[in-house]
Amino acid sequence: MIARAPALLMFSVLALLAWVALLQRGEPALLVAGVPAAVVLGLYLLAGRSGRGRGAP
Amino acid sequence: MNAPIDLGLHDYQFYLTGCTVFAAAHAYRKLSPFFCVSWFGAGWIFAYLWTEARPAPEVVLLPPLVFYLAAALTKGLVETRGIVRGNHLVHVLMTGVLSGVVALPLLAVADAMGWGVPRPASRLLFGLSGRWLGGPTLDAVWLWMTAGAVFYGAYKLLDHVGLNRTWQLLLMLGSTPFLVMTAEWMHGWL
Repeated sequence: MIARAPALLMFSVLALLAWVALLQRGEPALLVAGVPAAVVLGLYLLAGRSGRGRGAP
Repeated sequence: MNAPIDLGLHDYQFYLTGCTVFAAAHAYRKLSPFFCVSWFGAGWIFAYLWTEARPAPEVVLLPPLVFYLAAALTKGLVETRGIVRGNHLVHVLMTGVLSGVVALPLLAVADAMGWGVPRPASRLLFGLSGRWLGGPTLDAVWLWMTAGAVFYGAYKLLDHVGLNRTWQLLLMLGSTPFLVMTAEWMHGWL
C-alpha cells in the first residue's frame, strides 16, 4: 500500500474537497477546484507507474 | 444536506498530519531515510519562513506535503515519456505546475472552512476571479507553482552537483531563507 501513497493521498484530497463541498458547506461549485487534480490523478494512473520505480521524485 | 460528521480545524490538522506521515513513510521506504529527512526537514523550515500567517500546524505541514505529492506525480507522469525522461528542467517546471494543481483543492477547502493558509494571494490575474477556480484565486495557484518550482529546483540542484549527503543536507536547510526570497520574487514577477 505504501507504494501507492501518492495516488491514495490525491484520492484523499479529492474526497476531503467533496465532503466539504457537498456535505459540509453545500456549495457544489467548490468541486471545480478539484477538476485539475482529478485530471492529473487520472493521467498518473493511466501512465501506470504509480507504485513502481525508485529514485528521488 | 447536513454532514454526518462536522469537520473542524483539529480534524484538518489531524488529516494533514496523517497525510504527512504517510508521505514521509513513502519517502523513507521507496527512496531513503536521508531523502525523507532532508525533504520534510527543509520543507518545514521553508514553510515556517514562507508563511505570512501565524505558523500554525496546518500552514507548516501543507507546503512540503503539496510539493512532495507534486514531485511524485511528476515522476510518474514524466518518466513514462521518453522524450523528457531524465530532463531535470522539465521535472522542476512540471513539479511547479503540479504544486499549484495539488494545492488548489486544499486551498478551496481551507477558504470555505475559514482555516489558515500559509500565504494569502488575492491579486486579480488575467481578469480571472476565484469563482472560476472554485474559490481560490489564480494568484494563489501561481504562488504555489513558484514555491514548488523553487523548492524542488533547489533540491534537484543540490542532489546533482556531486555533494556528499552532509553538505547536501546542510545547504538545503541553510538555503531555505533564500528559497523563500526567490519564491517571493518569482511570485511578484507575474
